[in-house]
Amino acid sequence: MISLHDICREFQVGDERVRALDHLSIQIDRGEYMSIMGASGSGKSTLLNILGLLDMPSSGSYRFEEKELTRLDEEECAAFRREKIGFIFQSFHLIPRLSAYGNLELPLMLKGIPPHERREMIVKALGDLGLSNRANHLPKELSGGQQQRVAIARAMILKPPLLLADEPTGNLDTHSGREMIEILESLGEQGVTLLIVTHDPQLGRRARRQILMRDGQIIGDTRSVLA
Amino acid sequence: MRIDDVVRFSIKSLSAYPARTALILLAMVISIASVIILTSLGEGARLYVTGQFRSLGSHLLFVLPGRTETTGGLPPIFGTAPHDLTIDDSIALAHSVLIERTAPIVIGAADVSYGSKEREVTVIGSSHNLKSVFELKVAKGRFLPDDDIYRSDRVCVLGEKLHKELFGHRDVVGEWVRIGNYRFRIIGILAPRGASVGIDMSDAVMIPTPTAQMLFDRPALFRIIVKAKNKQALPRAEQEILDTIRIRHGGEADITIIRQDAMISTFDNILKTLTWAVGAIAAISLIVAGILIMNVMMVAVSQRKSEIGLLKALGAPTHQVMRIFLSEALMLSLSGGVLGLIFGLASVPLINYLIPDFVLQTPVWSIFAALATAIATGLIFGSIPALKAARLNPVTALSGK
Ligand SMILES: Nc1ncnc2c1ncn2[C@@H]1O[C@H](COP(=O)(O)OP(=O)(O)O)[C@@H](O)[C@H]1O
Ligand SMILES: [Mg+2]
Repeated sequence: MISLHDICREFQVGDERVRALDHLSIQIDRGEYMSIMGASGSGKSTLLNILGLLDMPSSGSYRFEEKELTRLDEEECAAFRREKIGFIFQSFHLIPRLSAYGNLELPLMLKGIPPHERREMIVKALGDLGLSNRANHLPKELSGGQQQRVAIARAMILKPPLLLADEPTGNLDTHSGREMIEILESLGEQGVTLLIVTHDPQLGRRARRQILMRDGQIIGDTRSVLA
Repeated sequence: MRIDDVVRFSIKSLSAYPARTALILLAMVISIASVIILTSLGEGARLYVTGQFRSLGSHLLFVLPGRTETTGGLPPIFGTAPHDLTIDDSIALAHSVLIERTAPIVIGAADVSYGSKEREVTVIGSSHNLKSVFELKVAKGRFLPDDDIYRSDRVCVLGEKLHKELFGHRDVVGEWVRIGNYRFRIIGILAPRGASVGIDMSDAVMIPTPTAQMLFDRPALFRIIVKAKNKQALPRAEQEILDTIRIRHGGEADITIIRQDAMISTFDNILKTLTWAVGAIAAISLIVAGILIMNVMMVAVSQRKSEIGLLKALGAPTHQVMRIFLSEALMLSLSGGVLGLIFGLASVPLINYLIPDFVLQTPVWSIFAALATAIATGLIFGSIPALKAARLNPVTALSGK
């Protein structure tokens, strides 16, 4: 499904050029469950941002379902994110003044789905994650675990094929963290391709494919070992 | 994103910061309301002044001795005309079929006294025709005599205000009053009417022309007032007056003619411009409101960076983010504009009630202009923060830095 070839991403910091991704190549198949580990600053987030088209590589090629994405314009990138990608962030990124329901409504509004059709989708998405009785709660009235579940529901409400999670358990206690991973894994079982960045080796080892990064390069890939 | 969703999203954002929203609304309300009130004031002044001119009577021409280069301008200040205007000139002008009647005017000031009361008063020497030319109404007695225009009777007609001042409410027709060094019999009192532009008839005393010439020892007329048959006759009447005077004054038309309608339109234009000007001054306060909107939206953009990043991660394209923030600015300015409009339109009758002497009148264009400037304010001052929001890099925006 995904093919990155010779990707570089450089940032200009003052007079210095920082290379966040250094000639990185990887193939990811549909339905894969992959964890990305590595020290802080090794380029994990940059990789995820490029995969989600929030960022563009300085050089290299990114093919998604046989389509080259590095030449897309802004509008096409936005459409791609809308249709294909679900993002989960460490800090949830729920809009504080909107209820759980309101936050779930956002992707549907951006897609232009009329209000009466949204209702059913939102009710179902909340129900799937055990949040039915939290629909009208504001984020600040929810626990961390509940907030992240709302964020997952929001990311998945339009059923994108690829879920990108950048340290989704980073702000959660061990128990909620495990719960979160289990929710993500169940999505994986339904066919969603999962890419999870994590610091926690225990959680990372649950993935069928594990990647280790250092200095913008992949220095370990369980698939290449097995293959 | 559907328009109704954008609007609903904006309302939620605005109501999340009630104090800030209220402050901007207040600034907009004050600006728009003052546009409405000040233009109403200007329009009221315009209608008042042109109304006063019209109340002088219709299709009038004022013939002044001496010539100025530009007709319709001020009467000559320096030098005396070689030929005085006379009662005979006035009669001669009235012969034209285009002219309904003419009234000679002599003006001066004299002490008017009755008993122990004495005051300096404007004295107008004229004929019976003055009544119809200026559309005057007589409350008691009669106006100046109609028989012989050359007769210097010692009779007078009092303006309503002057009458009240000297005699109170007493009917004094037939009694005597002293004007200058002569005694005059009061033959009539004018009915009240609104103040006039130019000569205030209600505070003047009217006497026959020859009497005034004698009183002021001045043979020349101050001017001749000509009432044309109708509006269409005015230009030709003007030409005919010039021709007649040229013949009578030895080949030279040494007069200036001022058309009443030209005066009205001059004042009308001046006051229209004035109305626009005060409206524009009020609109400048909109810039203050606009800058306030811009500032607050700028703060909102930096406070909501991570939200903007999220919207982009969820697939909102640049123009969508722009629309969301522009719609917030527009809703602020538009709702402030509508509230200001309501407030302004409501205060106009209130001011009219509190100050009944002067009637404010809201010109229709100012309502549209106020709303249009409100919308423009929102669009112009909202577009800069909206553009800033839309251009944010999603990765840095999400990191909240
Ligand atoms: N926007 C940026 N500007 C400058 N340098 C950046 C930027 N984003 C990331 N970097 C640098 O790129 C490297 C990789 O960062 P990142 O992908 O965030 O690492 P990780 O997520 O593994 O901690 C780091 O050295 C970081 O300082
Ligand atoms: Mg990171």
